[in-house]
Amino acid sequence: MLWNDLVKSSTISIKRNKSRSALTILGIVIGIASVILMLSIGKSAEGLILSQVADLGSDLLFVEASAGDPTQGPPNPFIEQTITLDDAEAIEKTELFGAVSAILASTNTVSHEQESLFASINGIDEGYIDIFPADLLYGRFFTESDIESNARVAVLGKDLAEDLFGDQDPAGMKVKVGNVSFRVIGVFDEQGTRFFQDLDTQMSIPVTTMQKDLMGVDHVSYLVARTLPDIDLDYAKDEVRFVLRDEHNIDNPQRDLDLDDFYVSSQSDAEDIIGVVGSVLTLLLSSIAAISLLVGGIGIMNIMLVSVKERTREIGLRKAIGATRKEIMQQFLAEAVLLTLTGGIIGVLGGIMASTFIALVAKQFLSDWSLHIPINAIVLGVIVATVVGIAFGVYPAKQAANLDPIEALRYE
Amino acid sequence: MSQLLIQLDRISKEYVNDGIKTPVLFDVSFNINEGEFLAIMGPSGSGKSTLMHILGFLDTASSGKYLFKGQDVSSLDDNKLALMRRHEVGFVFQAFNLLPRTTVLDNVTLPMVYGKIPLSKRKEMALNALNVVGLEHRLDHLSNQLSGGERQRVAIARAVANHPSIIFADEPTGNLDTKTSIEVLEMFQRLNREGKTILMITHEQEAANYAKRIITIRDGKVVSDK
Repeated sequence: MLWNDLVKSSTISIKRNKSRSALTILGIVIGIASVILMLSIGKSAEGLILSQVADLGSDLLFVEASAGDPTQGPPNPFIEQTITLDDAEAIEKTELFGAVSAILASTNTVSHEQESLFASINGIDEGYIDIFPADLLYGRFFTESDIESNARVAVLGKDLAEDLFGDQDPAGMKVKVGNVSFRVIGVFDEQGTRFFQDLDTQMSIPVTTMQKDLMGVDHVSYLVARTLPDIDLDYAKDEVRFVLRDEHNIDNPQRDLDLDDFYVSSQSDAEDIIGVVGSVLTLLLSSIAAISLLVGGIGIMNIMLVSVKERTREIGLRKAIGATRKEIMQQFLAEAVLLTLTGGIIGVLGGIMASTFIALVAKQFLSDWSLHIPINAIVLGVIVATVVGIAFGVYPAKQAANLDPIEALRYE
Repeated sequence: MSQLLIQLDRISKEYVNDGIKTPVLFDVSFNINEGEFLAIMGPSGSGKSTLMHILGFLDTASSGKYLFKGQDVSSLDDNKLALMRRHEVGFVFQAFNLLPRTTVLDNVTLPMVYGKIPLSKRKEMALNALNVVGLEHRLDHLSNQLSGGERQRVAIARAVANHPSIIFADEPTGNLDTKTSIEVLEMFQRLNREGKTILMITHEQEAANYAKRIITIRDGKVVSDK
């Protein structure tokens, strides 16, 4: 059979049962569309997360309270708050870091006269701005003496300042957090998001004030340190662990991370974790897509078997006028592949449309979201559709090819 | 002097079903020359259809020798039988067996699909064949829009389109009324006058009378040949 005859006869028989063909390929369409969609979303989400992390810079170390190594197994829910300002000082003494900052974060009601809103409050110190550089719209940032004296001063995010004070100049004004009154000494310029938090709606106060006046605690949430230019990050990590074990009186000569009551991480660790999460997610979604393609394929096989039965006389006739087994086989295989390939192409287009739509919606909430259409996924989708057609078309095509022409011609 | 086309030498056929042998043909021997119009007659169950299937390469004999154009075709495999059907034979069936909801043109060109005739030649060949049966004006009609007589004429056009060596017609008038039956039989006569070799299976004496030679089969044996 010539190629164009093969294509023509397949097209004719698919068109002859339009709605049945359409329903049959639905499984393939959904399967392929979900492959495209999930790969697109996965790529976009990964890009978004990595862009958030990459903004931090690759020379930062984070120290959090932790029981054990969070990259090994699930996190331990019983975490004691073990990180203190003394730890920050001890780390600073290693002279490996250009800046060390302690951060204690919480949320509370922030009010000014009649305006009252719920906001994130960051207890930070004077080193913070060296690690996360930020411009001030006006006023000044905290000084060392603000921190040491538990000063009740605040630096506001730009949007928070606008919400509280409107057009007024907030410098020197009072804001209340709960019942504690703070004097505004500065307002940050626009900062955007970091770790998915909108920095412009946050309020910053000295970490010591946060500990004593607002929360009544001795610990901090985490420490951040920026290594000096020539310091190896892994070396710095080990040094920090060494210092903190000493500070916390942990006897751990084997350097077993599970024995520590803290965890030291860097941006590359975060990227590794995101990578692992990403591949688990991809695996999960791929198996859903695989199941949907399997079900779709069985649907194709089913309808091809029906088609072989219905067209028994036609097969008999084709054999009588000289079609070989191979040619009958080819014809039915071509039909199955044309069905799945059509489904695959519709699925690819549907997947692209759905990805675009989701990207448009996501952009409303996450301004850094960007649309990725993975070309390899499109190629993969089309190949997979063809393979499904061949795999599930072989059995019905064999049934057709093996029909006895005499019996097929008599079939009622 | 006409050429010898088919030689049958003691052809027998038996079917084996669940270990039980059912003989259908016994030692059938005759020759067919090119240009003949032969009718094989017999009641149902006489083995005439089985004989046609063997002659038409749809089935093989259990024993005996079948020479086609001098070549022994008694024990060809499936694939070679298909190629013989493709190149040497045209079939006309009682139930017409046209492709459903398909144009007359596509029906007539179907054998050319397997004959790998170039696309550019097909329409001309189909038109020639349809001209023979007087349906060239129906080219684009769908098979289900035609009357029974027209359908059988399309089937005849399909059978002659590839210029086969012989046309097998299996009860070609079985589904037609008397008037159209006569039309079809006269068409066979005309084709035969134009040089086509035709073998027709029938159980009706009136139809068989249109042939130049009648072989009668009863219980799997040739009982007369005249």
